[in-house]
Amino acid sequence: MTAPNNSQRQQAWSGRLGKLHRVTFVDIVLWTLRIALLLLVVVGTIATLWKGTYDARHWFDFFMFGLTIGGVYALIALGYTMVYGVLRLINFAHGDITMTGAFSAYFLARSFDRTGFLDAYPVTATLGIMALSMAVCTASALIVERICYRPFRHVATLAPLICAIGASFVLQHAFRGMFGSNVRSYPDPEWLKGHVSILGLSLPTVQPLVILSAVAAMIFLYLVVQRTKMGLAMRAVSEDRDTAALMGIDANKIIIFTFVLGACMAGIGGVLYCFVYKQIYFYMGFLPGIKAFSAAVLGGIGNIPGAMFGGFFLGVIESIGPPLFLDGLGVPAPYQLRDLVAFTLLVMVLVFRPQGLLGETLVKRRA
Amino acid sequence: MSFEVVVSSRLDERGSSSWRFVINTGLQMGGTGLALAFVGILTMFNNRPIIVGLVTLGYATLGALFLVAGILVGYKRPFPQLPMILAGGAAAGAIAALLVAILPLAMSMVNLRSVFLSLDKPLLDMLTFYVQPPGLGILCLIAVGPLLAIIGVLIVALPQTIRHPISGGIIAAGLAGLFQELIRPILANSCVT
Repeated sequence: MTAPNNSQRQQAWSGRLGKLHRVTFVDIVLWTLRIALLLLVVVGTIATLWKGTYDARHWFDFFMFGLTIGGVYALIALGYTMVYGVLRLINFAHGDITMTGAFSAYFLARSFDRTGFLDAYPVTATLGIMALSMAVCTASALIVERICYRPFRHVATLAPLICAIGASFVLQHAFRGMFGSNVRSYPDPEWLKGHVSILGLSLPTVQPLVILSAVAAMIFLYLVVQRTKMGLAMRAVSEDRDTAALMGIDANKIIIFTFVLGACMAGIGGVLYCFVYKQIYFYMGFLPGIKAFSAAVLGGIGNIPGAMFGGFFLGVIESIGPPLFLDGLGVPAPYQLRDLVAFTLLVMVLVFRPQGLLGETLVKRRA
Repeated sequence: MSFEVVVSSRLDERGSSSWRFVINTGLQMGGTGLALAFVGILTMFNNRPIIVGLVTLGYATLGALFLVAGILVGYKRPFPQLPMILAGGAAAGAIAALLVAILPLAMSMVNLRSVFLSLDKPLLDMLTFYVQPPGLGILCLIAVGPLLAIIGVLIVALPQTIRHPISGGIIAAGLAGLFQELIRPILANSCVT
């Protein structure tokens, strides 16, 4: 074995230099941001644990509430991610479509509550409320798709996105006009007020109910997408709409099917959201919609398991994050900053990992 | 504004029969009328007169829906002969009016205001033209729909020399009614008046 000569050394050195890229100002800012955020999280966590304000019971409660609300976000996020998958469009009206289902659920739940049906037959009543919510969400989603998205289906500009934002405002203010701007309280039946004991731990009944319902809906959706012909066609359209059309798949039908599936999940999500927060108003779809969008981006938009994971992850971070990261730093009432934590997470994901934790790149892959 | 159309896109147009177009037009206009009533826009517009004591913005909006149903049928010309186009326009207007008429009919039988805040007595009065009993007003509404739609078809069918002054006059009256608060002080302070 001979030692490398000078020209070989120079070649190797220039090869290494070629692999390095110039450190720019943006790189420095991003690394500073990363380090600052990491320091904030680490210092805040250590300080909170050292302070000992919360015990294991509190953390468990935070975690369970995070899973509960995360289940709702995951259900709504599925609509965003599926529509993005087939249309490459962010359906910003999806949160408000959830609101339409929640409103219809409220009126049916209220009449069930007044007649005593909600207390006498909780399972039947809840299934009926969810069915109505799903039907109304589906109708709203199909109207929005027909009027706002279909005319722009073959258009590769920002027009559909702007139209989606417009549809969101139209839905909000149409419901404001129809039902008023006051906040209504969702019925709170006796069976939803109690506590259940799971593995020796006491939980509010609503939490396991919401988590299990959300998980069941997600399993059903996953089976539909993975095991049925329509699901297969949906995945084919998501991969390449034109090639799928050449294979004999009616892309129009599949897009409608996708909207219906997303709306059904939003309908269930809307009812579960009402179970948790027990409030209905015309603007209620906006924040969960944006959070669900964050969850979809977090998991990787266009990726169904990613949306499920992202929803639960965002819910847990939103619930545990404020007390864990901020309480030790002396921030008063940290739980009021949970939206800040959630959206900071969205910004961080968009800056440092735009493709999400499990997903594909958030770029337009095709013209 | 330029729209880049994807080269490989397929046109989704389907062949639709003439009557399907008429029915769709009627349903769309009627649905729009219902939506405007449900969200409270018709009631709100009805409080604003365009020609005091004669036409309010609410009636103008409702009438415009029926008129547009006729105009759309007139422009599309789904039938070869004018009488058939007039019949098509009348059918579109009748469908739109029937759809809107469902609302006062339901409101006169059931109190919907416990759910829909805008479905109140003033709206019922407006949709029934303040006629008692409401059933008679509903019949008037159903009659007005096809009538205005036929006018819409005729406006399209008329020669331009007649159509332009009529449409210009309608638009000018509407605009003057809408901006009456601006126009009135100008006229009051004008040396001409």
